[in-house]
Amino acid sequence: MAKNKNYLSGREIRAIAKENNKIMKRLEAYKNRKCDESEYLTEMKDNKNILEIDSLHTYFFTEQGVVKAVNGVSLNIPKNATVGIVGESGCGKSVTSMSVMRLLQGPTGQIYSGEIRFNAKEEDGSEKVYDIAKMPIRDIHKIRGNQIAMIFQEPMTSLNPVFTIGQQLDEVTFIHKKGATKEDAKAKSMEMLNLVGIAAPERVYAAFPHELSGGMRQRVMIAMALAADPRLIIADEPTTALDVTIQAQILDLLRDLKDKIDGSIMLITHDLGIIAEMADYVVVMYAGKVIEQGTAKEIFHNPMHPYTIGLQKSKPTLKSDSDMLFNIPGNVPNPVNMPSHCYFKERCDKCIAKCSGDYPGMVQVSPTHYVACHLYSEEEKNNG
Amino acid sequence: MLKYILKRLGMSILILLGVSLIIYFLIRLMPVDFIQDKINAINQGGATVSEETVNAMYEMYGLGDNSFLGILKGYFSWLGALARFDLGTSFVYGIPVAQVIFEHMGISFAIALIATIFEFMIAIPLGITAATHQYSFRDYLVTVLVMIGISLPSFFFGNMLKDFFALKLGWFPASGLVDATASYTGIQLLGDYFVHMFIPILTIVILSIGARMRMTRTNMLEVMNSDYIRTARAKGLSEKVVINKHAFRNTLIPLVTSLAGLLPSLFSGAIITEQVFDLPGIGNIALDAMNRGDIPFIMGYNMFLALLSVLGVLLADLMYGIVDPRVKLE
Repeated sequence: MAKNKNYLSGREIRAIAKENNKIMKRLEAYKNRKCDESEYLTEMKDNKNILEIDSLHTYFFTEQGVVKAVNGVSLNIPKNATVGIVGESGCGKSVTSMSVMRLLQGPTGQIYSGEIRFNAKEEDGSEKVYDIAKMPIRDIHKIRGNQIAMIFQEPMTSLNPVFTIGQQLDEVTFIHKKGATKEDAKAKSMEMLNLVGIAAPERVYAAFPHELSGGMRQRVMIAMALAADPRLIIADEPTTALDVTIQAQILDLLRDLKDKIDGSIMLITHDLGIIAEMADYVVVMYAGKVIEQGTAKEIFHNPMHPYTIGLQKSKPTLKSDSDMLFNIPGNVPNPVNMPSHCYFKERCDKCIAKCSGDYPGMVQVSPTHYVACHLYSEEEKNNG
Repeated sequence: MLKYILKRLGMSILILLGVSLIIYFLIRLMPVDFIQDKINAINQGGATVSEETVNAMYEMYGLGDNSFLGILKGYFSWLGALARFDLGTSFVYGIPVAQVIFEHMGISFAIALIATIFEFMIAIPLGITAATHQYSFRDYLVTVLVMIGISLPSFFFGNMLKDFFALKLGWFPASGLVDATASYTGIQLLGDYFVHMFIPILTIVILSIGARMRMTRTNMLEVMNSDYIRTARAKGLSEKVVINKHAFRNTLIPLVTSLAGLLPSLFSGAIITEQVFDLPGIGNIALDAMNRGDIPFIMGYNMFLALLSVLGVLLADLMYGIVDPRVKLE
């Protein structure tokens, strides 16, 4: 083992497969079970929130071992707010959103533990709180699409190539509005296409996805997400695949829409510029954990975690006269064998002796600002 | 659209001309000699054939000159006859080739059609379940079973089924197409046909399910992992609708490709299976013709299949335009 950490012997692989199969079987059975609604009804900790994620663990059971893609994430999304989730590729931000939508690719991807409390609004106007992590997959239709909608990263491939835009949009109304007629669905679809600023909705309605540009397709995706009046929209890097001018348009659209609809947005991105423009609250993730969270102002003007500071510095700006772009040295640790100390320790330039110890807990630095770093717990102790 | 079809048909004629030229040369170069076999048969009967008669026979059948130019001449005379819609007269049967094909095609077509319908009806649902339950017990079970089916040679498996169903259980007749001891008519005759065709069809179906099932599974898996399926799920559609509407509609696209090969295979006859069960299908006849050097028949049969292949490809391309809106035929 010491020679090569990545080498696994046949025996080890079989042991991993055996262990994985056992857990995957149990979790799959749990996911496919039939149960009464009362089993996954719960209460919100704070009624101002629409979504509360509580120490969520989402694992991928791979042949090399268990990848803890989301390893104890806790975050809240308040009503009518935009929460930005930032982090580099592979830090678990998309997996967090997939866990909320329960779109993880089974049987390898599974929610292992934790709670995802969601405040759903029933058709009669009453509110119900579901624990999405405990919901059996057969009941997921209660929230998926109508309460929580999602906009994906890849508009080019996210629409079904063999159906027209109209057919795909109408479908949303048919699923979520009982007794909707063809005319109702079309009227709603046209309204949505107008809402997302499509100039020729009649033409787009009858078009196939391949006849539209990437920006148009992303608008259609947004229209589709909005068609059922969701309470929460998860936008998973909605502008990554688009060119810069279209990016700006799509972001403007999302910002406008937030005012028009009565809901929250969970915006996932690795682009700090987008977060600065859009978000009310920011959550910074690193290697499957939340390392810092606070209001957008706090994160941008007073970043505390060395990783957040590094992220800020690595943002390209026109003002800087240096030729080189700042980067944080080193790599994310191997996701299969995470160390027990702070995951950022090897890359951190502010390491102290305590960093070799346990993983740091969340330290509150202001009513809304939290950071997981030993630097600040030390300070707190000295002060206190 | 019409222009496209006409253009493709024009190209098809060129292709068929090339195919016919190659086939004709290959057959003439085959080490089978119909005349020599015939003379040998006469010689065995005790009579002798003079050199002149032999030469006259070669001339009569148009096989006298085996040089390049001679073969070319033979080809053009065949082509000339074809231009008058005449496929020539079969050496072996002594009747027009078209008639031989027509008489024996029915049985092969019936078997192939029924077998293909069952093949699709069984293989596609199996492929879909295997894909939607990837790496589960169900997936492995289906895969192992159809792999056994692919791996079995038809002459062996056909005989095994014959041994079991016909000889051990006695449920079905072992070979032939009609019961020689009875003279049925009407509905009874049809029933008799069915009883005789059961084991051959079963053999073909079991042997051919595998390939189509694997193809469906692969396509389905590819589609199930695509982004638009995730979108469909995210909309709140039930898994049933996701699979049967959004995914299946996309797996149809590659399935259409197999239509190109389907058309000729419906008419070509199953050579080995027909041998095993002694069915008078076109495959059986074709093999016999090949062994005996029946040049007009081999030409006619192969050109018939070539025509169907070309039409099959055209049909598949036209179907693409229907199932895949991204394809524009111009």
